[in-house]
Amino acid sequence: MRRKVEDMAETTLTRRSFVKASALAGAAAAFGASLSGCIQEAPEQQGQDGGAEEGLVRMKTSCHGCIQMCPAIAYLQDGVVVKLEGDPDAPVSRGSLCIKGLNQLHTMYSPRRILHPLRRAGERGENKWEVISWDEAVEEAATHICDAIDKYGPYAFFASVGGGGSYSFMEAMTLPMAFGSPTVFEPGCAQCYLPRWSLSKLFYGGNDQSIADNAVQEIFRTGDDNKAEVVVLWGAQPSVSQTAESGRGMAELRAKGVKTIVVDPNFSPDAVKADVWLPVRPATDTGLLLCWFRYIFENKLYDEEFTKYWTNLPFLIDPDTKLPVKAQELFPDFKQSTPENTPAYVCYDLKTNAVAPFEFSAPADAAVDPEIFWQGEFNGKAYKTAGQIYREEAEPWTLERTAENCWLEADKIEEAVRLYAEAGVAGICNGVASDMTESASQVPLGCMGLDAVMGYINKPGCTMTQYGAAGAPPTKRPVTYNNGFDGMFSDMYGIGAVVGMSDAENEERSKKLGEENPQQELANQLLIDRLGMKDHKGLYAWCHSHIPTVRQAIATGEPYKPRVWFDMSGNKLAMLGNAKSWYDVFPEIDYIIGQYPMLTSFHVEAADLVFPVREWLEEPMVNMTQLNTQWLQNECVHIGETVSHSIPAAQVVAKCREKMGGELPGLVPGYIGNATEEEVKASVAETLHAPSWDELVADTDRYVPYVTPEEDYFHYNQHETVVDDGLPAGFGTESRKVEVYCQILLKLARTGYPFCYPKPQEACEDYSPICAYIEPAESPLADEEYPFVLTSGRVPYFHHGTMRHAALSRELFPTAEIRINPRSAAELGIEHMDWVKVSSRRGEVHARAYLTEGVNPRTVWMERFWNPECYDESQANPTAGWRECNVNVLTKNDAPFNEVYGSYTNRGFTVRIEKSERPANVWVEPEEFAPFLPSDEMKAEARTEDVF
Amino acid sequence: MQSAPIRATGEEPGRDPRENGLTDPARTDVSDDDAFGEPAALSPEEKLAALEEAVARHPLNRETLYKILVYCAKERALEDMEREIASWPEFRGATQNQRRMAETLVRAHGLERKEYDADGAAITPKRMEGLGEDEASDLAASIAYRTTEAGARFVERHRPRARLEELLRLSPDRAPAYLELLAFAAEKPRTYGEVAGLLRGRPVLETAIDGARLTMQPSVLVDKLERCGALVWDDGWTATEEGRAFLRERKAREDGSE
Repeated sequence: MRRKVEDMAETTLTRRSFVKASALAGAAAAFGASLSGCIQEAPEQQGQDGGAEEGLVRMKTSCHGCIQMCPAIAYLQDGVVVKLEGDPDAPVSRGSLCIKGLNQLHTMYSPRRILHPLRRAGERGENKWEVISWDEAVEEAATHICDAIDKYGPYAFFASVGGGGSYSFMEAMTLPMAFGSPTVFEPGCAQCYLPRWSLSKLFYGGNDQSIADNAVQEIFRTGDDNKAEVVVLWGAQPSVSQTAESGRGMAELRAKGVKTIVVDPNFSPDAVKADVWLPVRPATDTGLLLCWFRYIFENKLYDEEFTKYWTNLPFLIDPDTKLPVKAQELFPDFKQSTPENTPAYVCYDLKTNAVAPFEFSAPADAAVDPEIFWQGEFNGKAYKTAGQIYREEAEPWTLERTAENCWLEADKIEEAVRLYAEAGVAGICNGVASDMTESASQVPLGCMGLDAVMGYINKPGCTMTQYGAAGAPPTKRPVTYNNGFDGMFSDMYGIGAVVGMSDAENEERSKKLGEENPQQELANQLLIDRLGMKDHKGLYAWCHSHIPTVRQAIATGEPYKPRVWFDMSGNKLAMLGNAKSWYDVFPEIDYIIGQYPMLTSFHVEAADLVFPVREWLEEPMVNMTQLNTQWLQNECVHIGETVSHSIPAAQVVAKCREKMGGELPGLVPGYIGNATEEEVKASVAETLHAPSWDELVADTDRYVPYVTPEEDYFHYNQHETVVDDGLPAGFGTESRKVEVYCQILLKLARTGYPFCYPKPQEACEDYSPICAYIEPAESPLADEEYPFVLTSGRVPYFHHGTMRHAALSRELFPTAEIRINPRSAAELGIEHMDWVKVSSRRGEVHARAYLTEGVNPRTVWMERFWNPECYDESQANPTAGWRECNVNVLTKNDAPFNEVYGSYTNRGFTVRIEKSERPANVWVEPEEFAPFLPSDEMKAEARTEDVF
Repeated sequence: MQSAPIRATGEEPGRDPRENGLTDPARTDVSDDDAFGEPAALSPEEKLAALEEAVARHPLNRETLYKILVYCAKERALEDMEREIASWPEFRGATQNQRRMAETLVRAHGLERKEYDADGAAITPKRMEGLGEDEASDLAASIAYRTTEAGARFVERHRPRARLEELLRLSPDRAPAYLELLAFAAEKPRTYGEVAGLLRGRPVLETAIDGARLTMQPSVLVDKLERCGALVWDDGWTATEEGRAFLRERKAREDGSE
């Protein structure tokens, strides 16, 4: 069974070349300044006489090693993909392809792949499976779903997705809706991206600042079009997370002379190259943000005109409602000249030194000169401006206090904030870090708030600059759709209010849509009944349930029991916080359906049925775009009976409909996902503007990439464009301004507005409309039993839980490591590469100690989602690997949660470290990974036709 | 004997909550025959614990496994057992066949497997000595199962009556609704829609979880009664024989007390 590593030498990707290529990929990002220019090599001659690719078939495709999907070239020999490289025509990755992409040569032909539907043959936990036909598998899944709905009602069904390589976000979101169930979750979501994505819509109706999720594009413009001066990476490490695209892009920026500031507890490759590195104490970012606000306010470094006229900070706030005061409330006779959808507010006018109505207009046309920071009385009632409230919140955060609290140096903080605030243009980019803390809503409020008061919005070189269709010069007053992922499903799965429409407009719209679709009552009920939604109403934005509440409902059966689970991607034991708490409730779940290209420990431990899906070299798709270009993820090859990701659920839904007499109990149209490969391919062809799939693949160079002309893609100062009401467009918020004081969060907490509309949801505690400090619930400042604070992040070898079965990546990074400061290690008698036991209040795992000055003496750092997947017939390991080294055994999935999104604590909790022995069943030596190497049997699999 | 829920989840009493059993097999991690330990090496309590774990492992098999232990109080031939199990409504959604379930119970110390030769003579370990795998297999002409002492203890502990009484005792505020629902299902098989119609809007569905007021789905009550072995889905929710007997006896007691 076990083969030697040397057996692998026959493949084009040898161990040596892989390690070398991987190192280069990492180096290109990490050491971009010194290598810039060097990595813009001319592409090799492909398939030319005597070249390395002679006789190989060359196919354009895109990597799917992470969500950024860099354009790539695949080379095939006799139908087998033997080589991958980056596409040099891609504008940001420019021919780079990182180790994650290279891994596909292993994962595609891994002996761990499953090529046929599998039904469990033994007990859960036994790795015994029976190969069954697709007909049997679809029938079995549908039978269990229909039985459960017959017996317990639609809420018995639930779906999930996530875990890397997740192609099924929309599908998972809409699958339970088809059955009339409100329950779906993704381990990411509230812990990854939703807070930042959703808040940007509520904050100013624009794009968010995520460099990890392809939202940030402006700073990666090429050549002279790139106007970036300073980039702040706040809790993101693109060189590791998205090495070939935004990692490469950052390297190019640094080479161009752009200054960078990195806020990260860990000395990441981007921190190594930063002009200023702020190793903030994990999960105390809100303190640092408030310090920046304080410094900028105190030193008048903000953009005064933008803050006065394009943000809502000058608005007076009613101390009772905490909402901005409308002009008519204080001035009953005031007649506003702006449309009803553009309210007039109240400010303190410096021209008249009096409280006055403040109508929306271009700055030059304003009747008032609003004071940003003011407090005083009007008609016997005390008011403050939103700016004053923010300033008071920031007031305690002096450089010195922040340095002490956040384990930083005051002069470094000052250097960073001056660099940022004194630039002509700058922008903050963030990543997943803050989403994994209780401060998940407060940090993006702070990051966007800073860019807003600096006026770093809609300018060349800023991260909060709109692009593409959404950034096109507006002709009407901008509005923001919120329900169901940016309004995409707004009318189908719950109406919601459109922010920027007047009350009357929203009422009329809601009435019309309700009359057109009688299912709105059911849609609204699903919103209200969704688990955890009452307290964490921000989850409405992606129609997702609150994960800890779902787990609790499974465990207790109340208020209803999710009991038949269709998981559409990944290893939930690696992804879910406090993994063992989930493992404990598996025996409460009637039936578990999985789909994935391979078996993970989750499938071994829990799944009753597994559908085989395609690897990315097999699945047609359109990539995430690079700037104004869209690329094809091609069907380079196809083996076994694997199908595209949307198909299993579509087939099961169809079978359930048949069993239920032609109608499903849920919402119409229900599941959004293609049911056949033909539909998948037609959709891809359409997106790339090709007449058909056949013509697309016959002439790929003609259709790929699809390029939007630059003049139609890149736009600036959109908010100043005068639109059809004669006013500047402004932003898609209620006030038409950037709502740095994010008042809509208060309405959200109180009624569910704008998501739960027109029928309000029950109120919960108010959400904070501004960035406010939260000391982590498990604080190293007060924890003697668990004295270290643990945070986590990515390593360049893997994306989320994927690729743990890629043999050569495992050789490079064989097992979990924990980064510890040498001083702390010395006190504990721990040496470099010693095994240590890491314990939290949830459990314990083992890792090897990696000693580095790159973390604070009281901070430790691990890779997030580490999961060995080391089960194999050659090695006794009854746990399939998820217990030994999985950081999610340690993470905290109980309260306190982030108030808006319910995010739990994957980062910034306390642990104890002690020296230990190497645990059993953990692989470390290169030869131990030989069972993961591509097998001859897999490479000999014939190219197969589409199953559906 | 004190009844006990068929526990599937929750903390193990007396165990350090931080100790995640790094070196222990996970509770659903089964590696063939050694998953539940050698019978001789286990105490009666350990055997019972192993059986609890095995029965609770998969909810769709749980009640069937319990009923197999009841059925095999007398020794049962495999064929008879397969036929009998196939007639149970609880078995229709099971994820394993009858033989596999029986073998699960054998490994978990709840059932004893007995093998007989063509003449009906028991095949003892002594007769197996020196035989190869094929020869041993050929020797066995029939198989039968019988509940062990651990299995009998398990049955006694989890009789539907005991489970039902426990449920009513633990949630007295919901007890009238449980009994009404049980009687409703005893009249004739009920669709879930009918059950929901019976309970919808009742105060019994109002609950508080972590301080939040919530409305439960009617399925919560169905689920709890099913887990007691009082309700079963047989083309509709219907009271089990044990559930009906409970209602009869309760009514008799009430009538007697009037």
